Amino acid sequence: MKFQKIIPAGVFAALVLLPFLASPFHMDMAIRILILAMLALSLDLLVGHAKMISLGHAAFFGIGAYTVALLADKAGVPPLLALPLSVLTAMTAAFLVGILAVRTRGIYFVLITLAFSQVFYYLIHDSAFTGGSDGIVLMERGSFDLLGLLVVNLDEERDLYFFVLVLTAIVTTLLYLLIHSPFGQIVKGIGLNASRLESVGFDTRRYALVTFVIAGGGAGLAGYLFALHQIFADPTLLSWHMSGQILIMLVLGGSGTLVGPILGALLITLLEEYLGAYTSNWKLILGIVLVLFVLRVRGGVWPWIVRTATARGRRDGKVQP
Amino acid sequence: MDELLVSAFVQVLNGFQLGFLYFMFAIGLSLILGVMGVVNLAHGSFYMLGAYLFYAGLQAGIPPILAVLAALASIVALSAGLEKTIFRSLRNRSHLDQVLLTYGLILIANELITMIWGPTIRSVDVPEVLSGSISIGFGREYPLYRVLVSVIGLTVGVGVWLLLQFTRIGIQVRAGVFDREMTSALGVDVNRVSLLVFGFGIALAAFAGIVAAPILSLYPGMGETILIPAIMVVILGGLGSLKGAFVAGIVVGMVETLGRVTIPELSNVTIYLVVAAILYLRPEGLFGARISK
Amino acid sequence: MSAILTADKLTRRFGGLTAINSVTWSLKKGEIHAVIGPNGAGKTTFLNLLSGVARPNGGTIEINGTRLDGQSAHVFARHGVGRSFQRTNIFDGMTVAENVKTAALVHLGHAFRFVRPFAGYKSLEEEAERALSLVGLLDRRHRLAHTLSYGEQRMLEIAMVLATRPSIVLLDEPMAGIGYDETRHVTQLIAGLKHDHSVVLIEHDLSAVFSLADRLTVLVNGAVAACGSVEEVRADTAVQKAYLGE
Repeated sequence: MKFQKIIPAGVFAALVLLPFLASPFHMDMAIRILILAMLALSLDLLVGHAKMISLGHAAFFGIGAYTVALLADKAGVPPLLALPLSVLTAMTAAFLVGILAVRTRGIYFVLITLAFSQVFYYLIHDSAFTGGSDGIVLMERGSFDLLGLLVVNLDEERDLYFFVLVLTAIVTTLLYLLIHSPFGQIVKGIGLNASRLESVGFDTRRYALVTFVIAGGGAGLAGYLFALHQIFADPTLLSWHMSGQILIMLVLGGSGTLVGPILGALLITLLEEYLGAYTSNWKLILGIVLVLFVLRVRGGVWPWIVRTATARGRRDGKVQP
Repeated sequence: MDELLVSAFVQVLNGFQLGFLYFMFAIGLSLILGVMGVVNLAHGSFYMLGAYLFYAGLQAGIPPILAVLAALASIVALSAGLEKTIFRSLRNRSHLDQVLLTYGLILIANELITMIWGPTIRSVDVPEVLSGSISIGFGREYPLYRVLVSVIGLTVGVGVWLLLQFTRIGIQVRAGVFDREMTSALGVDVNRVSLLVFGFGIALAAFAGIVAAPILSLYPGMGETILIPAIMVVILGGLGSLKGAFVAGIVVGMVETLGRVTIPELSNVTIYLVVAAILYLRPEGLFGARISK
Repeated sequence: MSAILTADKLTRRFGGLTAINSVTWSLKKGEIHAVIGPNGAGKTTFLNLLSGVARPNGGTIEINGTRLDGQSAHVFARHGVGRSFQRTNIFDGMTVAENVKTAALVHLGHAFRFVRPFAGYKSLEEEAERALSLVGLLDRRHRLAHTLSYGEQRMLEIAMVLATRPSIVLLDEPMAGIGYDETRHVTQLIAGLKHDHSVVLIEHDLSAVFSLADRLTVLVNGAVAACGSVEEVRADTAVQKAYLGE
């Protein structure tokens, strides 16, 4: 379907132009949406493709955020240097959780991921070193020299915006490659029929663990950017409510697709922003929408858009890219 | 030295009390999770609802016993309605759908409670007749009500055991009536069993909330505060195991209570690490799991 | 012919029930060995044990001299065991070709390959075409697997197994629920496997079994009631009474 290539390209172009056309408020919101989109995409690898429902993904998000904040606060490490470290700590945490979690199936997996995210939540929440329930504030974001061509100053909102945009685009592209690679095929196989994969000769546990770690790394990067943007990190980032929010974004937008999670991040942010301005009980509406959505709707908003738009030209049995 | 012993004894009693509370709450969760295979994150919301309805009853001047019965009756009716409309179809849906839908219910429940009673913390006084204390030696007194919680927990446990052992539904549940292969056989009305098991599990959660109300404070979101440790109890004890819920409930309650006084900074983390350690050795929990899905 | 797979005193229990009771058995290289018996005799459990899907409570399994009992299914597969299931076990959401290509991925050794597109692997494409032609599904290869008929899905499953080029093929009731024409097709297919594979076949269709099998094992209540050539087993009066003469 050609339009499925055109729309994302168009969106990306619009995003590149956004800082020059929109207000600072909207640009700020766009940064938030991009970061959440990256977070949702990272979880979608697990939930949408491998069908491993993790209720503890926020832990890796928060760990990424706290890594950059702690390194800056305690060791004076410039935030930019902390990027690979944020991703690395998140992946390490994901590895530790994953080793145990991939030994479980079905309901147990959901519950264990929840349990372990709670470990990280409480470790951070109860410790003075990490600032307790108040969290840690980032003093400055820093700047860097881009190949001697120009200086990117992340304390300038516009520069930060492009930094986030480029990273999100890179992550999305990497995810696209991953899903279409042999590894991605195994991941999809795990989601569709793990026992078949085992019988054919693949140690699904090992592949599940690697998937889990990659997803954790993605979340860590999103957490890094979040801390950079909000210039603080606090324990709520690791709460299971946060994990729930990511899942909601995924499913509303459409899991198992690349556009879905991004769309979901957009929808939830808009919902929170505009519905929240209207009533402080907007979560009630979100809850009702969620219940009705699960009961009535199959798939998400993006699959619905694709279905509606291709209703005429659909041929039987053809796969969609 | 004696002082220390008595203080320790008090903490052990507290541990049991919390453990029995977890046990009561976890039975329903274990049944719904382990036997029906439904991830019900909203289990804590019924706990919260039970506590608040009891509170509302007392505020309206209804005598405690009647307030308890009224709260339970309303929640049983509510759960029956929910089972027919929502939870019945949830049995056949993916875990993702279950997680999301019940998470949505949590949001709805918390907001409704906030809208009706506000976000501030409420408390319920221990009913007059139960507000005494008993002497536990060395001049120390221990609240009667807290002992009662343990007694109630034990009674509930025995009651559930009897139900599972000797009623037809109980036998069907233990025989795996919700397992996919068995559903088609034997002419069992699975929907009716589902309704009863679900309603019963929810009622237990609400009852736990009522019992806990005079000891713990009431606030929107209190359901999630107990849900997470209860999930640990269920994992530890094995899904669907009554014995497991009992032993694990006491263990979790004890670890949490004793941990809070000995290593306060690590107390919250400890139980999760204990769970991790045990699960590493026995992935099916202490008493083995009956995984329906 | 030497034994490619041997099982010694293989036992499998489910709670109080002994599904496979101290079975000693072997598969000769290049033969088609059918396993028959009444329902509940433990045939599928037996296959589960031979493919690592189930772990034995006692006894050993050796494939080409290597002890494999206690290992997981993927280890068995890497030692040359291919298994088709009683309930069709395919990747519903993928196309027919993708199903087989995914199975064929094992030939790459490992799938920790993250960049080059899966669709670009010519070797997998060829392997899939070979397997699909064998089962007669080549013209269906772009269809989504769940749009196939029941019989076609059974064939897809066999194609997936064959794509891994197993030395031992375990077939669990491949002809169950398919029509007459397809049964003939499957019978020819299985007969053709003799050259490069050793086959264990569970089937209820006795005429197919008698025409295909080199050797026959009758499993009753988890134990071997008879084992030998088709003539020998058919002549065994005890077996006749217990199973064949129904």
